[in-house]
Amino acid sequence: MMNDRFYAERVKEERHDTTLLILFILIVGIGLGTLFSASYYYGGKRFDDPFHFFYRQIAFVGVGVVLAFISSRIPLQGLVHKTPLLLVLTLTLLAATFIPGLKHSIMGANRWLSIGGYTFQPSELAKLTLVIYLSAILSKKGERLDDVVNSIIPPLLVVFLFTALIYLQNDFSTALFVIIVSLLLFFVAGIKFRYFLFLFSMVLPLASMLVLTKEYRVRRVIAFLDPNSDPIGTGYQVIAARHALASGDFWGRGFGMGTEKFGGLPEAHSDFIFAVFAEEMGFVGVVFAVVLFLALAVRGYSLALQYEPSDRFSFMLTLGLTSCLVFQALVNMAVVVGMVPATGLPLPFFSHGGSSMVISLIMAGLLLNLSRNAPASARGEL
Amino acid sequence: MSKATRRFGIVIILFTVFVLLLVAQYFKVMVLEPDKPEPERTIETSSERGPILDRNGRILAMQTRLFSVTAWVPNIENPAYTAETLAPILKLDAEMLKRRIDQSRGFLYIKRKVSPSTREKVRRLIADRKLPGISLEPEYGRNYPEQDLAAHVLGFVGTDNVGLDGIELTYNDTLAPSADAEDNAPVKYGNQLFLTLDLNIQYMAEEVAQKTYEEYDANSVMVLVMDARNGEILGWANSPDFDPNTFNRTDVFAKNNRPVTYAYEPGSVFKIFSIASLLELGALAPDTEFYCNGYYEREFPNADTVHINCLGTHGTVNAQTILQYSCNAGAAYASDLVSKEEFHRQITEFGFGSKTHLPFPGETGGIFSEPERWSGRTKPTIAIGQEISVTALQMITAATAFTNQGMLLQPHIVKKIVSPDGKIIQENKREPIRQAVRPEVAEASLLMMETVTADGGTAHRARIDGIRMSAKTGTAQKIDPRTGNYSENSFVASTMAIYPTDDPRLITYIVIDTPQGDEFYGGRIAAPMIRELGLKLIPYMGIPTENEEVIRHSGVVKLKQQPQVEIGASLPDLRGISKRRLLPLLSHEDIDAIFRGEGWVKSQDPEPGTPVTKNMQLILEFE
Repeated sequence: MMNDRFYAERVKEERHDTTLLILFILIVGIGLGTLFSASYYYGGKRFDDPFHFFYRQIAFVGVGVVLAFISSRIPLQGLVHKTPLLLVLTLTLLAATFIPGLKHSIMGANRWLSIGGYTFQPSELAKLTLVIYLSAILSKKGERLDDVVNSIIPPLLVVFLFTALIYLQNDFSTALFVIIVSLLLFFVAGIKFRYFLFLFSMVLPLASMLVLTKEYRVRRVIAFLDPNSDPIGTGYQVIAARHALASGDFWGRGFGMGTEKFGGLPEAHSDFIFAVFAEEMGFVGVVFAVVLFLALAVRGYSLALQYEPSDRFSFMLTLGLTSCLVFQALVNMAVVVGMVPATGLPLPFFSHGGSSMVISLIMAGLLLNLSRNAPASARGEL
Repeated sequence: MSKATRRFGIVIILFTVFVLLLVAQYFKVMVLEPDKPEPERTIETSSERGPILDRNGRILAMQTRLFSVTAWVPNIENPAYTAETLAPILKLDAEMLKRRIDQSRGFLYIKRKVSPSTREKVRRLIADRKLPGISLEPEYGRNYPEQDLAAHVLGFVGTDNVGLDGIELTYNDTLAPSADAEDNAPVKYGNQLFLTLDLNIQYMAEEVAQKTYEEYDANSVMVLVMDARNGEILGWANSPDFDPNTFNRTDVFAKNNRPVTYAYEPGSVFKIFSIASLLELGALAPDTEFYCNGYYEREFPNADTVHINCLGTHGTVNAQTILQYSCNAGAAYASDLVSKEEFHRQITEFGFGSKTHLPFPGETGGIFSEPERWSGRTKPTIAIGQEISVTALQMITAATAFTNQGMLLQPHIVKKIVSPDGKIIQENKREPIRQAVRPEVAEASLLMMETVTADGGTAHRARIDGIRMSAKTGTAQKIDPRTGNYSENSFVASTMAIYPTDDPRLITYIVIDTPQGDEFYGGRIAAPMIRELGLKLIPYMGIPTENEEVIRHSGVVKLKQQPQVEIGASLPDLRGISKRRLLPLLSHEDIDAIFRGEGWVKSQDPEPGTPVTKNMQLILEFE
């Protein structure tokens, strides 16, 4: 089977999925525009340069596009062999955030590594690594997934190690997100439903317990339940986001015309950037953005289905990568609208941040890679 | 369908439900939500409060932009580190700062309006990401470049740029940027406000006030200078004073704008108004005589005896000598000629007992009780300036009646208000209030007051050679608040001077509250200060003095003194004479002069030599 794959790859000079490419270009473009609108005031105020965040983001996109191009060209089966290396590298980087000389803290979170003036967030890389690792290991285990000790425990331990390290970086939401994506992959890989229920029942109380260990998390949950209980404290961001949304109304105030970003809405250029987008583009814009990510999901998932059941690894990888991007986007949007308590999850391709942008673009590159190599028979079916 | 595909189907369904819920929630919050946020949420645009300038456009108050160090506490990761880093730069106590950060949950001003160098230090730290949660916010502040000069007139603004005292308070809405300016204007400007004050005169007045304040260790000293012709206040000195840049470091007493807030008994200076009132009422004639044997005494039917001491035994006095010697007995006897109601009404004509409405906060109208509450001694006592409380502003305003043919003028401190684009919004001009006395009474009062500066008059120390000066001194006893009686050692010494007597240009008034030491008579300590001030004002204003061939004008231009233009039985040759010197023609009894153009007379109609007849018309063309 491996030989067949190699053979197929060499013979087919297939082109990638143009729809998927166009979707990514659209999302990145809209994201850049929104970032500019959301950050020029803050950038001007804080760095005396309205373009500060915009130019940085452009640079990140540049780096990301190069890496995405490489990702879209590398042989995917080679990736399977590189998985252990990738795991070690990611774990090392994650662990490095605890080394005083390298770590870089922002707002109480030690999520960053400082390398030559630039900071890198290994937990973003962890999302990618875990998806690749789980796809590889769970597809390899194949039908032996019912063997709990040999098939489920080892990957579970790896997931636990990742999650623990991310959690210790004070990045509760990414940790939780990693768990959710992992559970999804376990679920889809086909482990017995009762194992899955067991896992799920383990995670839920653990997560609730961890929420209660940090005061700010409890506050965020309370603020989620009743933003007005602490209007100048934790509830402030939630209320400010609501103001932005309500002021956007159906048609929006127009690009660049939002007002909440003028200091009313903290973090307008990062985690809450979608509130700025919603205020300026209105409900119409929100629907458009949701549709874009939804289209990404449809395209990604149908691509995944093309690999099933012939290529379980590619199926799971496609599914995992698509979910990573789309879930993050939806959770972030849910946070902004107040459906979910405030978390630290960025909006992929929108929020300001190099690590998130580069990793998201690499994921996009991998998806394009997968779309090029999809079995010919299934093409065009969906 | 494989197990994986089936499972995947479940995921898709959950996913779809989530997306639907998400979109529904967005629809609810964005479109349906009834509590739309108030769209008038104020947007931070930069705005500039208008400047305050003197009459010549010299800046007294202007806008500054300084930065404040602020914190958004939820974003501060390490309060201890933040406090330790910021405290030395901002010269704050680190412990205290940490506590403030810990106690706050949202927005916090760490230090407002820091210096540019401090701002730069903080800005670098922020740029290096050393201070998460800390930002620099621009704040618009007020600077008073002349520091304590005219401080009481200007007042001051609070840290949020709202006027708290003085003109800054009363004209806050004028100076503050208009709320209905264009919404998207990048910078909104307030109006410019020109005061009637002349910075040079203000400086002269303050110099004299401060010197007097220190020399006599007085409670306070006020020096006011007014343009006698239009009621514009040119100088407004009040010691002790303060620096509005650091107003919160000064005690309340120094910030008190006493010329409007402090009511005191004026003493003998008030005699000019009581004698003028008696003349106006017709009860007193210039030649009515009284006999002063050192006191005033009157028995009332109810056996009450009113006794008022005089400072000397002046013998036979009349209206003029009452003023010249400041004879208490004479003034008191003269007041017996009118009823208390008449006297009250006429004193009220001068504006006493009511506010002048000069735009200052906290103005008092003084204390001038209704005649029905007067005791037997009230009328004669008011005649000598006691039992009535006035403000310095009321006194100087009342004097405009003497310099404007009996017409009382509205005092002005604001000359004009100019919009940011240069349009004059409001301009205050000479504003007559009422005819307080007949022109003859006004003129007689000035002439009588002139004798006060003659040898033997109480104000001879105010006299300046070469100029005719009308003046009056006063030394009032203050009420001792403990006993409720007049004190034997607390006085208000004052002197008012109007000059030149023949063509009044200036009214100056100095009030020394509770001078310490052996000297406390207005004539001894206040009058010399009036002279000192006059010696500076006269050349500055270019007021001609008699015995100098060449006079200094503003210290720059030397002018040959011009003889007065006199018109006798026939018209003189007016050609080549400046318009300025011909201005008295406008008030000539017989001639109806019509001026055309500016400069010097080019032609006149009728010709020189034409006999002057009643109501003749004289047309003068200037070039």
